[in-house]
Amino acid sequence: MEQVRSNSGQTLGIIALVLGILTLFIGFIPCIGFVAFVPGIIAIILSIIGLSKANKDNGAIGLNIGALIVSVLGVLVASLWLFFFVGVASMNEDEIEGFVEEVIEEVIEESVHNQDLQEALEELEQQLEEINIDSIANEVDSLEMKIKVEIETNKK
Amino acid sequence: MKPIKNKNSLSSYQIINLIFASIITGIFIYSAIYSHRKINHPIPSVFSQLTGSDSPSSGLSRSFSALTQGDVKSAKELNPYSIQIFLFFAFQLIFRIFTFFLMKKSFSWINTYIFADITLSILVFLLVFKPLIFFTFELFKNFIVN
Repeated sequence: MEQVRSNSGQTLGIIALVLGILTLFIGFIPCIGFVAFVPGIIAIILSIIGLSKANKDNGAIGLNIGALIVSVLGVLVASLWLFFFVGVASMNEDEIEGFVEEVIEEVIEESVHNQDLQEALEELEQQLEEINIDSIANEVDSLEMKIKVEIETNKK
Repeated sequence: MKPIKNKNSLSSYQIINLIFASIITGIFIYSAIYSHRKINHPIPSVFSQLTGSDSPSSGLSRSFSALTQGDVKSAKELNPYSIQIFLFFAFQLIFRIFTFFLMKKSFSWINTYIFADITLSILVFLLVFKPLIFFTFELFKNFIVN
């Protein structure tokens, strides 16, 4: 006897999966991260309803399970932002600024972390320093020379 | 008992591809409508408003606007991560449209294709969004420690 699978819960699963993926995307954008909480909660509710419908009417549950996992992850990330913003409300401006700047510096360091690149940058920095010193020395020499010439002409 | 393969599994995948293609097209249209020279994008940076500091995603909307108008130099100045994120979305758009039309014909290896799609998309997402993901977790970690 063949088991017939219905489409029950499929549409809810699709909507929940799309909302769940969007939640995860938005969650990792610091500027609007906490907004992800709204689609995330909707996605969780839809996927749970879809899952129960699919179980009841012998529908495919994979889509709903995937949607549930993705939306729970998204909501967790959005919760971090909510936590952060609530906590930040009790801090003063200088504290927040110093704190955020520190993390941004770490991110920049992390994103340009490349041994070859670091060595090349250090070498370039040294070369630039040498060039600056040389040019200053040359300027001083030429000034001195000019003064000497003028003095000699006055004597004559 | 041998389960019958769901005849609509393909169409579900196609619908998801179509929805994402529409969303990404919407993002590109939104970016193209607004100019990166004027600060008139309707979505505000809540992070900057609350903390007074910039985040790695600051300037992303204006940067996307610059990219849709072909101004790569300005885009890079507005947000250094925008080019990789923009390319990710552009690749996703092409891939979603391609998959939407291609999957009608080659039906036999659909499950392998979906698995490869999920794996590849997750990996590229992690790679492209790495600075933003790192910032999110690092910020929260420092916040807990302090």
